[in-house]
Amino acid sequence: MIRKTLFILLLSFSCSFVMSGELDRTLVVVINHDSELAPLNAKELRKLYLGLKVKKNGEHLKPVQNYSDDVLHEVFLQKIMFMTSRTYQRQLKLRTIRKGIKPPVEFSSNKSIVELLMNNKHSVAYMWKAEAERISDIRVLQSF
Amino acid sequence: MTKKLKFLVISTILLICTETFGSEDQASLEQNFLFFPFAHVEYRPGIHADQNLDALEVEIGSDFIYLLNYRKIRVLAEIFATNEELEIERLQFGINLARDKTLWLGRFHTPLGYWNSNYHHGLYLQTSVHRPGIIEYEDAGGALPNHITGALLDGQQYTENGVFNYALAAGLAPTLGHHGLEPYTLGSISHKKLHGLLKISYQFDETDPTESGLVVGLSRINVENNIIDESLQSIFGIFSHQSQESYRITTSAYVVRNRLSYESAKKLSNSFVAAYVHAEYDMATKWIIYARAERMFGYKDDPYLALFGHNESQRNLAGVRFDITRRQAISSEVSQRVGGHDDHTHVSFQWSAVFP
Repeated sequence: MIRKTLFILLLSFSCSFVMSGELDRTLVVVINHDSELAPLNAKELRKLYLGLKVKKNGEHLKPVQNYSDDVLHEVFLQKIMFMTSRTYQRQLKLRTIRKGIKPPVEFSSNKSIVELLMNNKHSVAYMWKAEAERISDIRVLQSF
Repeated sequence: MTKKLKFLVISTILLICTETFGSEDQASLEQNFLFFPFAHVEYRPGIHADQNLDALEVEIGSDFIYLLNYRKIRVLAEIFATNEELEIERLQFGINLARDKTLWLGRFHTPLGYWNSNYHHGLYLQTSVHRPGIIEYEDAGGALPNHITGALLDGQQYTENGVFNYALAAGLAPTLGHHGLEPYTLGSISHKKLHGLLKISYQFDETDPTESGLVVGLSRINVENNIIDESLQSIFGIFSHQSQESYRITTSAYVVRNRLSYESAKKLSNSFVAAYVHAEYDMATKWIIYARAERMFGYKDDPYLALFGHNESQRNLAGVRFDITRRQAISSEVSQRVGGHDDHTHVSFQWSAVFP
């Protein structure tokens, strides 16, 4: 009986540990700390990251791509864009070729993204929640 | 186009790229430069010596695209360069008349349906190595005008849920010369015959690539022939591109009617139908398998197609593509063609990419 109880406790502890690890891997959309932007709906986010114009508070939002972590980008594609990496790239290039639409700017480090967000109130980026919470100059707009 | 003129135009484009509008008002100025390099190997097993075709062909090149947005002004230039040719594909100057409505002037791609509008020379963007035969490039024996010089009104009309896309093109029609259709290019002789085309499509969701629509076109094609003056060509086409999570299906069908006017005042009309179904399936994250079936009907006694000296009646192909990185892919394809001057089994290998 004691062994069983110990086993269940150990299992619960392991599960909670794994789950807390998963919580750290939550994707969040981040903006400048002083921005008054309200959370965007799923369609607005998709439009924004396809290079289409999304206007809020009288200003066009500027999307920022985060390529600092392959897993993060994959989660972004699955939870926000609902498309594969190749389909997403193709959509961006097609819009550029056909309409002259500028694709989102790309960064491969969170440091560069934070610097951009600090200097631009209309830029929107994404990163892991755990990392976003450590930076005081940005604000979490919404979680996925 | 003469080499000197080509050089002059290309130099001008490059000059625009580097010196556009100086440094003033940089905030309104947006520039984009994309290039699509590729290397292509084509093998035709079992070819005969008298067929005037190479058993092995290698083509290396790139498509260069430059885009500029400055306030309401847009410039789009596209140069296609390979070890065999150098072509100014597009040179368009546009003005945004309203949100989502642009009027372009210059040389542009004919909005002939989904494939021609979306992929054209961007080989990396299309999954297959070859494009469908009915929208083959003019210099590769294509029977429909792929390029036009004139005006293009391109825009969207939003509905409650979706969006209508439209493209209305009007300009100078191509000439049917001894080597096939020859689109009007800067410096070439214009026969002042017009070509018009309207494409309308609908997307249920603007952010979803799924799109369906139709194409209607009318063209007076000058024929460089001792007995035929011109062909009045009308095109009616429907197309659909369905994109789901792991597969995509593109279908298209065209009804093409030509009325040939002879020197003797005789007129002869005929219609043919060309259709294709192209399907792709994502086997794994980076692996895609695909297949396409193309068929042509009513082609046997068509007097217009007879002027091309060949009638490819069907083409079946299958292939696999592997995306090496986010911007590079390799593809291998086997295709079987029936009819036409290139009536063989083709085995193709291609590396394609897009930068940046």
